[in-house]
Amino acid sequence: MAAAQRGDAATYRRLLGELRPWLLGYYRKRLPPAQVEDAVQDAMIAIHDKRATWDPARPFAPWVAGIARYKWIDRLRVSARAPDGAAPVETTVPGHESAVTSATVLTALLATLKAPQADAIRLVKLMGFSIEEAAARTGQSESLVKVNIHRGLARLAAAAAEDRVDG
Amino acid sequence: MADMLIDRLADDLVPVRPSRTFDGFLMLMLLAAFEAAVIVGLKLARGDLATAHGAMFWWKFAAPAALALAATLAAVRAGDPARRTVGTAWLGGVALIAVVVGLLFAPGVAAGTLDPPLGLACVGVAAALALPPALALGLLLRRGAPAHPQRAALAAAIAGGAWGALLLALHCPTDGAIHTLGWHTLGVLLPAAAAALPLARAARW
Repeated sequence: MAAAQRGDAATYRRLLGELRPWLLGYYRKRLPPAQVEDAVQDAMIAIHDKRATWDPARPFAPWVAGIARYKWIDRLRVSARAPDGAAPVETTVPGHESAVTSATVLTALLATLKAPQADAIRLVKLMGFSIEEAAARTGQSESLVKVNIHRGLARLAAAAAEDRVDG
Repeated sequence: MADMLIDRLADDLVPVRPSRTFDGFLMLMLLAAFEAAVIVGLKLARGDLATAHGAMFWWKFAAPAALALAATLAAVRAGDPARRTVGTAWLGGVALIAVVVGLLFAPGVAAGTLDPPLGLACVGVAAALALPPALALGLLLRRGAPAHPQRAALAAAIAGGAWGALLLALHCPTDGAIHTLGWHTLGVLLPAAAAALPLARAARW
């Protein structure tokens, strides 16, 4: 990155190429598969835009991890603001190791929430059910499903920002 | 797709100067020194700066100075995304100690009067003097990548307010306990409150 800060494009291209697998692994553990590629690209653009904030006197890995983590939390916040968004997250990658890992971590994250909030998020955001279908399955009213999704995602974002979950 | 993005980012690469905590801190110090020089240069400083040595005189310099230095350091350091803490609780401790020390000094000095017109004028001057440091910190936050934008903005807002109150002490001729503890504290809080929201917007990335 020090070379990139000096404008060395070839070294920078190699660095980004080497960072990409790490970012893929990072987001596969924390996001549904359909969001992983977007998150990686967001993070790479942020690394590019904010490359001046890395002090060569300090270690590089925590800096990259800080950017990746911020973009992850940002995604949770955006999701919290649009709980009944029209783009449900599909999780139909069968038998894939990363999907299993992601599901495991997401399950652990959801376990920190109240059950109605976790149920609403799991059904609508992860399994792709509509608000109406989630309401029918959980016995919650439609407005309560929306509120629980909103509050649950906000709690996850807050917990991540406060380091109460692995980041 | 991924290779295209990497190629585009690499093609866009231009040299950048790495930001360092010390540089940002030094910039704020120089800015405050410049403002102080303007106050003195325009003969707006109180006439008895060399001879006034009361407890409240020292408090109204020392308290905002401690807060300004601590908050500036916190805000500037917060621009590094690797830093997971901003130190807002620590800043709260500094502010609390400053207020407690002021309250301990108060019984031993002349109480003076509330004098709202003078007090409001002091708050207005503090706000005007807080603007340049707050703007500078906003620019630093904008260029930075704070892990906690709202807390970083809060630290920057407190720093701006504290710099304003510190510089106000050069100008304000009144050392009464009521005026100093009341209006000069508001001289930190009100500009900080006004700056917090725009700074939070500037800090998001």
